[in-house]
Amino acid sequence: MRPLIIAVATGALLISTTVAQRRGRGFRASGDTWKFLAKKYDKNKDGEITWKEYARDKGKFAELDKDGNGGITKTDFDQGGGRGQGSRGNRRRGGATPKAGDLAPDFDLPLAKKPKQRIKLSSFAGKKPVALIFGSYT
Amino acid sequence: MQFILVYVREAHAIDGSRPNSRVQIEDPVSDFERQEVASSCIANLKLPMTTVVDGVDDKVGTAYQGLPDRLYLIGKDGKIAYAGGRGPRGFQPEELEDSIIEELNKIWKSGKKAKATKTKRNKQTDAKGK
Repeated sequence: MRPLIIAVATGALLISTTVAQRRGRGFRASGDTWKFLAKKYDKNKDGEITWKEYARDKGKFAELDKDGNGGITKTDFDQGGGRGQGSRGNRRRGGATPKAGDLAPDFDLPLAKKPKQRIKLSSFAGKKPVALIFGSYT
Repeated sequence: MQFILVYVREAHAIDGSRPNSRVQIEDPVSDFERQEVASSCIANLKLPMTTVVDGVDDKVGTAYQGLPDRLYLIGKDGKIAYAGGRGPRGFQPEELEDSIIEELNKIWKSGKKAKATKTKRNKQTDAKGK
């Protein structure tokens, strides 16, 4: 059992260190956001991404079009280092953090590899302990 | 012991509020998109763990305040045995490891106890039988 724990702990460490490394360099590189978006969406290369060119998600478009003039341009990223006011990342979501002793909030989520298959947390209760690692690629 | 990686909202999407220029990923706008990002993440980082993906409504991520990253241990009884701090600073795998050892010891001890009482009882019935 011990080697398994160590293996997983190093795995978890790996995620956190890659996250930390990535954070160190290029963090808050708002210029890169425009470069990325322009390359992907500005099809006629006129320096403005219209909704027609973006056509992805209305909410996200409005968020990126910070000055609200109907098009995403480089100037939308000039001020405030890309930190949009309505940006989802800035909105700290309410609710208390569950603490030790609390009943674990249940979930039923799809597997990344097989989305048709789901895992229900409460199905492990009474059988075995579960370690949860929350995180994302970036 | 079960390990589950819960894939939540991108902490540093390229089109988010704190963009990351090294791994350029757009903030997924649908469950399907997040599913795809999660798959490429586990493939590229060769993550061996069972991975589930939170919906774009961030329901589970919010319930656990798991953003941007956080660790938990749920005991065999279904209750939280360890709740880690908010990442990246609070992300402490050593703390999780300690609590896993503690939890497994607890289970092992209670198993041993149950076994001991069982053998004791068996011996008593044996004695009675004689």
